[in-house]
Amino acid sequence: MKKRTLSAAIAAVAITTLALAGCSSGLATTSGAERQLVIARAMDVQTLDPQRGYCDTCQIVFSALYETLLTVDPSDATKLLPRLATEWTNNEDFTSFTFTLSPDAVFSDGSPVEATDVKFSLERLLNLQGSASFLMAGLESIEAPDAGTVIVNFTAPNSAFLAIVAAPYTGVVNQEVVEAAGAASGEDAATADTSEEWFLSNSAGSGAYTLASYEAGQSIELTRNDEFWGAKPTFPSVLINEVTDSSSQLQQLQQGDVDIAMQISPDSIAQLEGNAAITTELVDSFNYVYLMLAPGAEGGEVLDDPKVREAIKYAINYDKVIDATVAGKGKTQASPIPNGFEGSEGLEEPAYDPEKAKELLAEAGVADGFTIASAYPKFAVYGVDFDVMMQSIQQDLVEVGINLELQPLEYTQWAEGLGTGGSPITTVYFAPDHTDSSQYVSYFGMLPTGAWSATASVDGAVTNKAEEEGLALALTQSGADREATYNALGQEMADDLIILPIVNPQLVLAHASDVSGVAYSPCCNLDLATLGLK
Amino acid sequence: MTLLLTQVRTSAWLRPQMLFAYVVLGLWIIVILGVQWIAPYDPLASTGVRLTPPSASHFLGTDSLGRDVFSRTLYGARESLPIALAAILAAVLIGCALGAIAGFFGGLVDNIIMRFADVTMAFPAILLAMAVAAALGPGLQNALIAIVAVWWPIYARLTRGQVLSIKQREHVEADVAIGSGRWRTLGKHILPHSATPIMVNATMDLGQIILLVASLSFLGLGALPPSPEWGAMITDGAKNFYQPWVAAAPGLAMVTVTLAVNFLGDGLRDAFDVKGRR
Amino acid sequence: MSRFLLKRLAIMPLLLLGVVTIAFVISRLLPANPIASIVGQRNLGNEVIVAAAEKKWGLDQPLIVQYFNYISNLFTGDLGTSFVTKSPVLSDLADRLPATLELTIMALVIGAVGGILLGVISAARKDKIPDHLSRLFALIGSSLPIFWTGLLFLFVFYAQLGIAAGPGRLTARVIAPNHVTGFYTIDALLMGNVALFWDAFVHLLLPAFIMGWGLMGTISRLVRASMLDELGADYVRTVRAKGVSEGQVLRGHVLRNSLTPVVTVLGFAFGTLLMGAVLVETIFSWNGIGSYAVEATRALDYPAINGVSLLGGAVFLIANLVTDVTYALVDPRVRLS
Repeated sequence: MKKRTLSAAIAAVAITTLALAGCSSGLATTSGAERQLVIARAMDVQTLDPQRGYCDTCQIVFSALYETLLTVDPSDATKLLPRLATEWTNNEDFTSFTFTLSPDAVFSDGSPVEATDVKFSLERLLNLQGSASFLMAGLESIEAPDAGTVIVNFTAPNSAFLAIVAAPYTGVVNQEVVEAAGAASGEDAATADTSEEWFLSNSAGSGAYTLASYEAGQSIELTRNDEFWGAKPTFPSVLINEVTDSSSQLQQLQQGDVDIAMQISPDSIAQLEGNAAITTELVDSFNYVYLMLAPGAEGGEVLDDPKVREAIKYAINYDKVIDATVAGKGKTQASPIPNGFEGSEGLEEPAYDPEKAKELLAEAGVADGFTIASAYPKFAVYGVDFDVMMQSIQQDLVEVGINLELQPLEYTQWAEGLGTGGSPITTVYFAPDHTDSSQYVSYFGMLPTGAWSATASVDGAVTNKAEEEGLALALTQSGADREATYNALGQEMADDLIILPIVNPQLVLAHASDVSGVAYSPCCNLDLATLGLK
Repeated sequence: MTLLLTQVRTSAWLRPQMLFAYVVLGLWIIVILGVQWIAPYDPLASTGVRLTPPSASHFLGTDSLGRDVFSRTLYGARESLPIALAAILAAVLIGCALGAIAGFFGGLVDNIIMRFADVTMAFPAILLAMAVAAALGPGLQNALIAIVAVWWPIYARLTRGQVLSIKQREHVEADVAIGSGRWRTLGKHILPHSATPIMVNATMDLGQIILLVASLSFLGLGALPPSPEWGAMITDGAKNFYQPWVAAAPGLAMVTVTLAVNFLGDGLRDAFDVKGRR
Repeated sequence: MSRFLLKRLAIMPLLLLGVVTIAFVISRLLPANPIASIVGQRNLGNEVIVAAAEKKWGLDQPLIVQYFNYISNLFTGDLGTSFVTKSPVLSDLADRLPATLELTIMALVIGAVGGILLGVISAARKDKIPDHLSRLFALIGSSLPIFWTGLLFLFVFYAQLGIAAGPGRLTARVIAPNHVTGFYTIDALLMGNVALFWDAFVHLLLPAFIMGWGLMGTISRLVRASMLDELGADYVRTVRAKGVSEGQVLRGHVLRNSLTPVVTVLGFAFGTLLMGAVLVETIFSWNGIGSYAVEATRALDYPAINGVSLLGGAVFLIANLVTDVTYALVDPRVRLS
């Protein structure tokens, strides 16, 4: 009897299963009448406040929700195009910039974009002291003589400013709306502004999309802005889904579950070959991963001798590392100024020469090698897995007698460690904030503003006069003169031997074949408004 | 020892599962002791083209850095197994000591120790292990401490229970009556009687601990790169999902060990006729 | 028994307090301070920002004060605000708990049903091939590293063979059902949408099976052992002598009595499974408490770590309590003691 009831049960389950299997038509999907664009990405979002945020995903989202005064020409990174501003001029020494706003520009609530909104947004960017506030450093004043004119004045020459106002972090917010939500732009904005939470579920910009919803660590959804004053974007809504794992992104793309997968590793591209429904493309990017040497950190004394640092530079087998991390789809880079940026041409690429490395070590008095610790964050960015990269570098350094002790840390612990001196050798990545080379000198140079100058020597912070003066000069120049100055600055930074660029990876663009317009945007990572359907 | 032997049923030692356990564990012990002569390649060096499937020259393929997966798996035994063994030994020693003290002395001492054990047990094991490992930093030694911190209460409880039941037995009371010191009584009577169920439990737990070490490494809290620890190797394999051999080998290795250990534990339990409460 | 129950209930808050205290101590022992994840790496040197953030999140107070603030907030149901999601931890947990519960209950069902079936087969065919096979299957289940099995099964059954559903609770692009319980299966049925129910259901199968496999091992062993015990008992011989068929013997009497230990294990297993979800959720992109715990530990999100520990501890304690009570209810011998 037991057997009979068992078989009856099995039969019942089987019938139900078959019946249910036929019912898939009842599934409400988001690809209904008009298709929603789904993007798979490992999000690094902390906030959706455009004047507070500073992350790669932020670039994509902010440029869709908000608009900047200018934008970068997608086909020529050195060219600037009008956006909110139709005309712009600057005075001879680059201390004053005048923008004429388009009379057609309106916010998502229908109100016009006015000079006061621009003034408010830029001042707020500076005074909130968020991660991107350095973009407005040196600001003296902003004037809004009439609704369509904005004049920005700096205390010192700033020839980078036009490129800066194409960065998504300078997006313009609707002053009235955000002030009502608690936003402030005055000098006390850092403590007076209470609107950060409001931005997690609302947007107040003039961009092609508005924020529909945000779930931390899960998804961001944008819907088309009906009041948009520009060309109506093709997709009525965009969903950015958190998919942390690169192979999961690949799977979802293959299954047709997502339209664009943003962080597929070059290793797995081969999986997509022959699949007509998916298009993959490798494009050059301005992103790169670098090693940072800190003689001033605990345990880093041996690095104080530039010969030792140079030895490390020669000891690394760049081809092997690039092969191990991005399957060869990347390049080396001569200086902290990325390939393709102003000033990067003609500089000497790092070479692999273990014999030279051993010579240099002997000259420095450490022929027998040494042991040194390296705490680094556990990232995988631009296709580069830091664990893999560091292990590959470790293998190379062993050959010349340097024993690298790897300590992978979670981002928080690593960032905190930086605050207390950091590790003698660490690794980080950098993506451009805007299209001007000055950012690289300010950030990577041995300057007071530099992020890595404090630990560049056992004796404390280092200032490289040539770099300081060079940067100030470059900010007063334009054209070929400026290029020459940045070129010299690039060489100077390479000679500092503090920042060692390891790989400049190509970007993998992987998307459904019927989605058009997927390209790498140097300012905004991915420009959602220009995406369409074939 | 005589006490233990009288409880044994000899045929239990020779069942097929037990033989499997002996062979497998024996082989792994040989590997741990002599891996330098067995493994074909240096586990840390790139000896082949990266991510190649199993082939004649690389028996189980190569990983993302071109290192031989087979060699790394063999060396991995040296990372994962001794730590697990040390962890269970430490947990047993600490747990038993505390449990014996609690059971024997009773009263306030008993209460404090047992409440502490209860709270630790109320804490979800993997969460506590994660938290402790994160607090101490990465590294296998810290993972060891984390696991011991989580696992000792079980043995404390077990030992205390044993101690309580044995304390009542006549010959112990007699001993106490003629004036033997408390510590002597503890050592002479109570501990030997408790040894069997604890030993069996420990063997059965060893499998869980091996998995816990690997889980911590998988989450990035155990072994440091480039260590060929099995959990860490599986994490690497997860990143190279479409090259399944990278994760398959260490996983299979782990399964053989835990299976063998579980068989051993089962067999021991049957041999000593212990009805464990787990 | 009611005295026993009362005693256990009385101790619970103390134990919970112990759990929270341990969690608090550990999270403060963590070597990094979470300011880095709140203000971002670039601002770590900026004192104004750091001070403002510390004030906002209460990190500038001495440890004891923070501890007491936390405990007193607990009484008002305020578990603090997560540094990462910027939402109250309580609402984060409420959002993500149903996902884990759904998975755990499914795993429990699979483990229990599978385990009982295997145990019965083993006992009925003791020492024959089915016995050996089912015991092997069960033993393998408790020997497998869950995260490895998950990856392997995903690769074979999803990526290669395409017969299992992929990671995630639903197929991408599918809209989740209207939120009533948070259980996608139940909510879909409440909406009357059978296809949606099916989608959620198939996505549950693989991760739940992997989680439940280990449980199957434990339960089948228990069922087998207790059934064998029962089968040798006097009353069974009597019933057989009366001419009742073997099947009736098994079903009518033995099985019911053998299930007692199973029930007690289920309570304990629920607690274990809930936290075992940590590994499975990371592999299957499941948005539950397990992955929340991993993210919180990684970002050193103190309020979230404390919140998850409290939840985990509470669940464990309740599960053990239920187990003890059920055991007492079911086994008259215990009830009388």
